[in-house]
Amino acid sequence: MKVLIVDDSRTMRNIQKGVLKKLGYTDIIEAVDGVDALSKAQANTPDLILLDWNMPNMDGLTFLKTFRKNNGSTVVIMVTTEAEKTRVVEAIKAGVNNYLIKPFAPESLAEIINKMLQTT
Amino acid sequence: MAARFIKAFVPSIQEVFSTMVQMEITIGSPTICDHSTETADVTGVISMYGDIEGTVILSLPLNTAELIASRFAGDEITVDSDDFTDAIGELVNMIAGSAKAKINGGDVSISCPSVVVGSNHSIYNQKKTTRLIEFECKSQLGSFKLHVSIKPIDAPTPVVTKAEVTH
Repeated sequence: MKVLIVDDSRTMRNIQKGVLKKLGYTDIIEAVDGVDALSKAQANTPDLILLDWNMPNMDGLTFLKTFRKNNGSTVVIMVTTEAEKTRVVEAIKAGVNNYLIKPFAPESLAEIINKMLQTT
Repeated sequence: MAARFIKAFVPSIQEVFSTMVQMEITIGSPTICDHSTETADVTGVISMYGDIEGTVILSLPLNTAELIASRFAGDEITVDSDDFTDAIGELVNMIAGSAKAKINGGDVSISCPSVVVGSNHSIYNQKKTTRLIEFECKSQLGSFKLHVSIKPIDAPTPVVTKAEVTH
């Protein structure tokens, strides 16, 4: 199981990596923005993407719309501070599978990951 | 107007620190000012723009900033570490994001954060059409401040804040 973490904050990537490793997922790739993520997603074909929204160069929503043109099956969980209903709807329309709002407890991320991977 | 923002930022500060730093924050009565009442060594700054414009500023003494960044990251972090400014920037990002949702002020976006590191600097509100709301925050790792300078876009003058380094 390959997981791609997309977040411009290394602190947040490390926190998410810690949760993944506790769940037993160790094949983890990191990207720092949407452009980096597109390149790494193409090179690694991840099974799961944890995706931030607000990033320089290319934001998460733009990445998602581009990514979904050629990949409808990868599970994408948005992990973001964007909490308004309008933003969530935008992300769902763009093809996100689930949504976690920052700040989050590590257990909440673990729960969503388990839930999404059990249903695919 | 200030009451609406105070109601959004107080729970946001507490939520971010209790969830990500596992630490309770006590927040004193907010005050309105034109510049910070104490100097700081580390400041995280983030802007909000769109239907609401403003700036959110997290200011800390160095020791407190290092302790908070370390607990947030789950690893010892000092000011010399590449992860130090990243951690502080991410904290102010989450505070602004959480408050933005609570304010429910329309279509509002948040910039990428910036972090200033320098001993004993102050925060000044440059434009006199808005004021700074200062939140004094106390924690087991030390005290720090959050400043917010913010208003809806239909007000005539955009918000600008300035940090001046004093030596």
